[in-house]
Amino acid sequence: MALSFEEAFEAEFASLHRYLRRRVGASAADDLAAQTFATAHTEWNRFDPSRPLRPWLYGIAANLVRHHWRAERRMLRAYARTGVDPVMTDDEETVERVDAGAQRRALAAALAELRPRDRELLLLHAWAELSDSEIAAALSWPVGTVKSRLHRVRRRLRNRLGPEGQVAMKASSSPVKGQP
Amino acid sequence: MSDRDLQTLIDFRSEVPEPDEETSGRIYALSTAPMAGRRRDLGRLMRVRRSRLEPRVPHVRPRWRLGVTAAGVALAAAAAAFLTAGSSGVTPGVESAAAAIKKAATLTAASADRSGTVNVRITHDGQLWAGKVIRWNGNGVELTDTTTRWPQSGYPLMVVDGMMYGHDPEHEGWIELGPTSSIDPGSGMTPTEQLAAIREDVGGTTLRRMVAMMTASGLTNTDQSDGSTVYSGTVPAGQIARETGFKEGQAIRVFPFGYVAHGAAADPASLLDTAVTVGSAGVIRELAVTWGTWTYTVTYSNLGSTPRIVAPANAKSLRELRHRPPGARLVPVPPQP
Repeated sequence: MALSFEEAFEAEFASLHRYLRRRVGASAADDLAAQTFATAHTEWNRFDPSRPLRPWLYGIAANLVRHHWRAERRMLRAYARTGVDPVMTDDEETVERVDAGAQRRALAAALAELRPRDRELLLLHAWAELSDSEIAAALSWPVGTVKSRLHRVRRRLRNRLGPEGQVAMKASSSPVKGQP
Repeated sequence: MSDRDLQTLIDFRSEVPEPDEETSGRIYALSTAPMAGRRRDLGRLMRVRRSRLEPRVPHVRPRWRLGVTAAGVALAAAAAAFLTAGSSGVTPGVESAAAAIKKAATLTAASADRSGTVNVRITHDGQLWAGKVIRWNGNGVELTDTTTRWPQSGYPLMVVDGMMYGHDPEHEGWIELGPTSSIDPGSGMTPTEQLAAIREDVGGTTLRRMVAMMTASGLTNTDQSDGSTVYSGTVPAGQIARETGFKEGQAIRVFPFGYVAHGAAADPASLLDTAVTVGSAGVIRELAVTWGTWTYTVTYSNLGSTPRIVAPANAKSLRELRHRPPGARLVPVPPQP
């Protein structure tokens, strides 16, 4: 039976909001979640109910997040540099500082240096918990492309982070050559 | 990336709390904003953001239901109405206008995400000084200079499927300028960057910043006979024209969509008269900034319904152009009868 928009919102909102908040901070997450669901609401009659809902929603969200790639990179770099997670401190509701260990800072630095599209791919996998086929549907890529690119991204990160999660932090300040 | 690193990455997200019911209700209401008549109330809902001054409420992990959400929306609306009525020195009408224009900015951004058209004009004493029309659909973009004094005016620069096309008036034909990947990333000139800038200007941070300043400086609104509403206020020029660099010790400030600001508009502290027209559907229709005898206007149309950008037929490559004798036409002149 086809979901109503209300049911879809109830099923996916919390998860999508957390994903967006993790990526761009609380304030922007509110805006992006609203825009994602506003777009979904507008397009609801055209959505094929036989298709899975999550990839469609995350695909909309991905198109919106793409415009925030500089802000996201800035936050990741700040995290890597200071160890204080901006996502957990930029909002009114959370006032405590969250200081990160070296591994987390290294990971944030490595994420910041990924090309935006690769970061999108990895985070849809790790944070949105989408399967390869769902990511493929969200990004309109072939499944094989998703698999191979995900493999390449993970290998690149492994090379950068090292087997024990160590990293040369100085590399985090190098400029990125790439486009969103 | 080792499994341990992947798990650490997953943990990043695990720490983010779930949104509370108030946030859920507010965003649900905003997403489904149904009709013009309810825009005002929905706009008020957007104002019910948690304040730093409020005590932190322990987060209740929700298995919330729509019935609860509806109650939350009603409570939030009541709270918003109470806060609006209780705020000192500001009338409910002004509060509503501020909320409505912010909502319009959000709706405009959502509408413009896939496709849209903007007509940008700078006029001096009522005469067109510079202008262009920008159409976009997905990753395709078309920029047409509408200033008549340039030879290229009227012919667009297009990007379709990663290839750039231009029109050469000397050869009267379309030229395939090359793949977009040949442009230096980070230069601000790649189509992806252009598209990001367009979207930022149409409904993104530029517009939100302007709306916030208009609201702060005293917003007035006038209903029009066609159902639209014109919101007027003043905005410091520095919030409209962004600083992009320096030349001879002077900061260069550029308007959204790429025109260098001059006169009072180049002084970031100057207050410029700004008017935003919101159509009856709740989406921004026009943005106008005035200083002295100059006016900068952006007219939005076909947001979400601009047709796909189609590559020009019979475009010639630059390589082919280089091997033609000087003055030769790319498009042969048809034989005269």
